[in-house]
Amino acid sequence: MASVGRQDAGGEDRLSGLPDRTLGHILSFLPTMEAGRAAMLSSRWRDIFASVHTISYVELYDPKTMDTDTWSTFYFDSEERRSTNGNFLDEVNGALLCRRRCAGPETTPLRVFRVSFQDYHHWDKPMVDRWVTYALQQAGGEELHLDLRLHAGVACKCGRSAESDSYEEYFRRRRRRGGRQSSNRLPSRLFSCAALRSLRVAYCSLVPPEEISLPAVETLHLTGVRNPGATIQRLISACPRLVDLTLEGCPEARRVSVLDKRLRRLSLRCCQNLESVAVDASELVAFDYRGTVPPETLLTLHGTPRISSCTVEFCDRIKLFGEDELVRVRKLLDKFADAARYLRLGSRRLGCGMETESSFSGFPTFSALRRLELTGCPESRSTAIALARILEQTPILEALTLFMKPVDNNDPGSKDDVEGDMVTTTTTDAMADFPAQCLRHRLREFNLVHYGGNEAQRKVAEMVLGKALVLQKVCVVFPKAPVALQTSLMNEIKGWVVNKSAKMMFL
Amino acid sequence: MASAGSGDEKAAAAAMITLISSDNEKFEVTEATATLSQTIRHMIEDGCTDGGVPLPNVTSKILARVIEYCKKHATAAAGEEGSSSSFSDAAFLEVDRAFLEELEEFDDAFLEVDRATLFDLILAANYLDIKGLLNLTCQKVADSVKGKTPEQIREMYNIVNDLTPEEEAEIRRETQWAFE
Repeated sequence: MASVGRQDAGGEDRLSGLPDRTLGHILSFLPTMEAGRAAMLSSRWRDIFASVHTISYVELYDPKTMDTDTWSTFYFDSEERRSTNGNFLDEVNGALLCRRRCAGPETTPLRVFRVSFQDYHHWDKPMVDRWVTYALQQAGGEELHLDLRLHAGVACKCGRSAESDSYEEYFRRRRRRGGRQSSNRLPSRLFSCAALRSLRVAYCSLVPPEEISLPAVETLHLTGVRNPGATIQRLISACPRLVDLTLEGCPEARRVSVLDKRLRRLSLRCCQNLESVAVDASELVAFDYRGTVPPETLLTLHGTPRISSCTVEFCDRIKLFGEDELVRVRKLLDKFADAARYLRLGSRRLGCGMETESSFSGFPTFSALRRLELTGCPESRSTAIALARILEQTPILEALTLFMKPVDNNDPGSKDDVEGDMVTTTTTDAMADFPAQCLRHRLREFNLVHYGGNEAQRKVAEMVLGKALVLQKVCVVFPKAPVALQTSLMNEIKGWVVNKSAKMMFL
Repeated sequence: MASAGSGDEKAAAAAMITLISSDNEKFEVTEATATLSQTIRHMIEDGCTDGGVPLPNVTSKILARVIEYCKKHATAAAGEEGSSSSFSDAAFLEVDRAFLEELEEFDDAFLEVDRATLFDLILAANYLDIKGLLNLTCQKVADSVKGKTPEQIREMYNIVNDLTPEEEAEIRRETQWAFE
């Protein structure tokens, strides 16, 4: 990034000499407001905004206007019926009006239109309708990427911060404010846009007409979308070129089938009531699941799946899976064991509680796995055993990352360590002679994130570092902690590293 | 010509394409490398590449760099089979992180050029319609002006402010929306 500085270019202005389209492309990489300010540069740039093809706005969280009390006072009583999003609406309108003002015969088609509200109000509907209609008009024949988030909360509360809303809370609150069901309905011409390449919507109500025709859509991301009349399946069926599908926080989605085209990527996040998903997986390369341990019947992969990247995150509140859950975890992981080269596995307890004796055969052999990321709470020393057992099943692993979640003391379930320690006493000795082939011969990279240095975490770190003979890189990220504590943890880690030539980083 | 990797080797049996720069230098490349350019892809599809593809807008110095870029990225794009799909596996997967990192390092090093070359590359990428290269080079310019005031940008790129104070005031009013 060093070379674009002040240079002796003979005073020539090559930038202004570029074609409009190219200047518009350059400005499209900037925040929309900055692109708008380019008009100040010179007369050459005055109408350049008509060539900018990306308009992107994300409303920032502002506690002053987002305060729920505000709703019952000024904003609600004011005659103007202007929501707390007034400033945000003005910003987006400013950009769109400027585009219209600068427009000429050479206006570049709009390629990306992205707006993300903190919290949409049904008073904003006329404006959003107008925006979407304008974006669809301006798309030209090429490609349009539409990204509309009416609410910034996450789809599911599990494991997330307390401020964020879940789907249910969002709709409950909306009703309280007098929003009708139709108040976030998107214009129906959206469903016949031939240029639409990707459609990402969050907390919008989709009511497509009888005929849906989205011939160019490749990416479909639906977050917090309700499903009357199997809207979600109808939409999926109407996109013949779909390759990337995400369903997130759609509790009304039950059955989904994508057999008439080949997805490359599938993501199912927090759709608690999904019963069955059937896909032609012959070209599926990435799969992403987040939710409770699913029933065995959830996922049916047709064709010969070669899924190389796989993320599975269990958000069950319980800390130790029972026999039944472990069987279902195994059934799910089995689908990816042959081909996965990259696996991310998250659960409340680091390692999914694979330490219990009965689950010893619970983790399938991942014969092609190169990178493994495990997220969860390492509690009680038995986590190290779970990890050792998992590593037994990953013969060619090259990189291991452990994200340590802090222990939640308010959680009633966190006192079940007694059980964990009972396991420990029976198996600690057995751990010493784990062969763990991948540790000895393969593992080159080891990352520890949020390493606070409690006993379970230290046990895990010691086990890996003490056996990894060909380790080249160690990276440890500490949480905020006194320097003295960090230093002592750091020294301890240095002492454990058996391959002294490994590069070490402490952040 | 040195092979850029397995992608090239696979395509070696396939047709070679000759590209001719504005100063008449000839470059022989594989079809997989050449078709990163949509312009050349269309020419191949129309069957008008016999006897070489003249590129009167691109000098040999710039064409050599463009080919260097295409060779490296042809490996990454292998398997896309000319679909206009905006997806490549690389975009989805963090699997081949080593390869992605290598590609990133290549791109960073590739961009270590003087200003004039950067603009020549932009124009060539534009003319040859090489999406990735156009994005890479335009992003570089965008990064260089990000967060800068109009005055700083003018100075950086030798832009002469030809606006009268009245016009400037008018534009400032028009772009009020962009100043928060």
